[in-house]
Amino acid sequence: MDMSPYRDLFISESREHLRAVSELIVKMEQETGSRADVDALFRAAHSLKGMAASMGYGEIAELSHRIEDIMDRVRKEELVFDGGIADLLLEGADLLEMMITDVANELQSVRDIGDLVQRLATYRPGAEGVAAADGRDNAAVAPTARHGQPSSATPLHGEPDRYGDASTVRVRTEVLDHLINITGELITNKHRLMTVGRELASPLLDEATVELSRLLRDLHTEVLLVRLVPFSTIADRFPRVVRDLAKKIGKEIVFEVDGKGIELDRGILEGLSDPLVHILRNAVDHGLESAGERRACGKPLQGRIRLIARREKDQVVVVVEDDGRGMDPARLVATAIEKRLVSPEAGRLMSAREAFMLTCIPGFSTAREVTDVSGRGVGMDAVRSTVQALGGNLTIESELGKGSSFILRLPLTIAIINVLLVRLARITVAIPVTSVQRTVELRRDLISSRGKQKVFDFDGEPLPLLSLNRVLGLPHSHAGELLSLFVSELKGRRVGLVVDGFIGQQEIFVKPLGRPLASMKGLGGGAVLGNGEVVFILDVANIL
Amino acid sequence: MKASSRGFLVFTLQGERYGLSLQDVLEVMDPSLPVPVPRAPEFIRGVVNVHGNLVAVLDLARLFARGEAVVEGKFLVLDRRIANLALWVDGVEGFVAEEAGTDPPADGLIARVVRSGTGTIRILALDRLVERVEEQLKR
Amino acid sequence: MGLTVLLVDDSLFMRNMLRGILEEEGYEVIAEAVDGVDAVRKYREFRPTVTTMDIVMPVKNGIEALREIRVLDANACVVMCSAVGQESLVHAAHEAGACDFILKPFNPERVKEVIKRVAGA
Repeated sequence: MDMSPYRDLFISESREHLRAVSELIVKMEQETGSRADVDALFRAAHSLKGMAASMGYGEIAELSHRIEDIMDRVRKEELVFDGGIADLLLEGADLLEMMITDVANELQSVRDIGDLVQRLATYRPGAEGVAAADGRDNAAVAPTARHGQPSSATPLHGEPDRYGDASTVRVRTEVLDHLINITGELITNKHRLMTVGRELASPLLDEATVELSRLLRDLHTEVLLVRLVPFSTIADRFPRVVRDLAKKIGKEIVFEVDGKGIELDRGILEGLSDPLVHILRNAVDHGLESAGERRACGKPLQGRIRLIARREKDQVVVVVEDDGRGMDPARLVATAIEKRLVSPEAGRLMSAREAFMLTCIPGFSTAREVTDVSGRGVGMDAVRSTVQALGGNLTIESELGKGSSFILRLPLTIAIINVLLVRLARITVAIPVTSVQRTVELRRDLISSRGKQKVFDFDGEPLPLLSLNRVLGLPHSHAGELLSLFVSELKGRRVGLVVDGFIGQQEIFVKPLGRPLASMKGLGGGAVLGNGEVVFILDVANIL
Repeated sequence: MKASSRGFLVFTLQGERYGLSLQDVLEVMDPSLPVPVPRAPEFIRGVVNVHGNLVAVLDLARLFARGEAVVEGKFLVLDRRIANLALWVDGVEGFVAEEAGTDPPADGLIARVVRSGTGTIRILALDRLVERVEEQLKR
Repeated sequence: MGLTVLLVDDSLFMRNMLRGILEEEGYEVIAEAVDGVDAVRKYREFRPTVTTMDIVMPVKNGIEALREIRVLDANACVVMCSAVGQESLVHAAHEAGACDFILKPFNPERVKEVIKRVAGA
């Protein structure tokens, strides 16, 4: 039988099972898992085995079978679910994930499952088995991460959603991307029709285009809804990330996730995964104190990290909050001056909020020692530019001794964003309004010089002026009485970016540039305006 | 499986004949004026709107450092699996079925050379071509 | 009227595969169910000629669903699908009134043969 038509479905359904498996294992390791959790774990392994066997993937079936077996023993109460089993099963889930990725990439699998299969088959509870399974540290005394009760709407074992009701269908993600493209095209074309309608002065055509507008709005809303996926899609793997890291560095951590049911555009959510992992790692590694330090400050010994997603108007706010040592703005500024990242006078003027943002400048790191966990200060700058590229922004709040919060604000949907259209020489470019702090029409006599640098006074703060034309390699005359500029943040510093003129603010439909243009720094996508003009969207934070 | 699609589209550039696997070409279009991309190297002539997708136009002649594309040429729009890219070439000659290839020549952008009738056709290594363009854009 | 089949399995992958095999033989898959509760409901609604029933499922397992369906319709023809190594379940299913078994992974020939046999009975 030709199984190729079922391959994609095998991959996506297997991955869902594996995600459930990881999630359930971590959950069971902490609270003695309920009967329902044990059953769900057993069933997931069982389903995986059946599917893999049908596809003829013998090794995936074999490994799933061993996991199913060990869970069957737990189910029959022949075995107690302990840390040793958790480690073995997580190892198995990781290996299965790799094997399924091999299938997805059409690679001949060369994974060696023999050793793990052997350990699963011969598992006996007790220190020996635990040490063999863990290999990194002595799990018998190692602290474990805990994550709290899942407080959100998505229950772990009301499974119909996960397995899909028979009345739902699966759609390939490319189809969704295509749908949104076609919808954007239709909207652009509607604008064209409306222009023609005005020229023809035909009431009948006008009537039809008005109706078309209404239908397109509905269509657009529906298409965007189809693309929404719950936060849990990425958040479900974070307890595992925090657990593994906490275990590795020997911290006791309570980890809670809130708002798993909050929905975001699939594209945004996927882009958010790496930044959140980075922030979480930072929190575990640097944000939280060691148990000893916490005892000395009279804090609970277990550190606490919360990951919260919530809706605020047309935005989704994602917060990572810890109750660790917090950050000292004065020390951050001192470090930045010492590393020559800011001048002493600029440092003196910095607010606490600005000081916290210094951590997002490339080359800045507050970690007193470099650990292999979160590496050297690289990362927070990448986090911020990723969030901005997704059309969002990042702010940091912190209180010394109390903890820190990293706050990510993101649009619900990525396809349509609000931009400021500006004119640069002969071209028009779009600046996401999230990157524009203010627009200014500046009188020339308000410009002063500081060495080679032209600056202007912005609410008492001298901001450097930069020609956006020049940055983009375009002719730059900037003639006229008033200079048009907008204030934005570049590499953690506020600057005034001078343009040839403002065209106005508008909602545009973002088109990804794809290969190869997407690899150009500073370009965040493109769009087609109602008049057919193609514009580029600037990723302002990364244009230098 | 798709025996019929194992052919090549043959195009001309600066008097030479080149080929692309038929499966990799989505469409052949008449050139339109590309919108220039700020800061792009000069072999990227700009982007054009192809059925709602923004597609970068690559001037192959400039990339190969052999002059530049001619206005009366053609755009070969590549399959989106490969890239959002159109190649600006001098003209399209037609299709040929696959014939025995010879060894790949030293130039990394040519996958191999096949004989056809009286002449030879250089088959482009598209993946390497896109990678090279990507590397240069990152700078 | 042709022969109708109700597919019960929590895996979309398995349902699609079975559907592929059965439709190739000209059977009409009249409905699909994703767990035991859904199976009983769909059975009541569609009254299929044959039901294929997975055993290991969330909410309500296949054997419980089989028992309920037999109460609903003493002549219901339900074929159980079970994986190798579940002989004890096969026995329980037989007691509960299953009319035949198909072992997973599915062998298309065996599936066609079983459905043909039970449908003819």
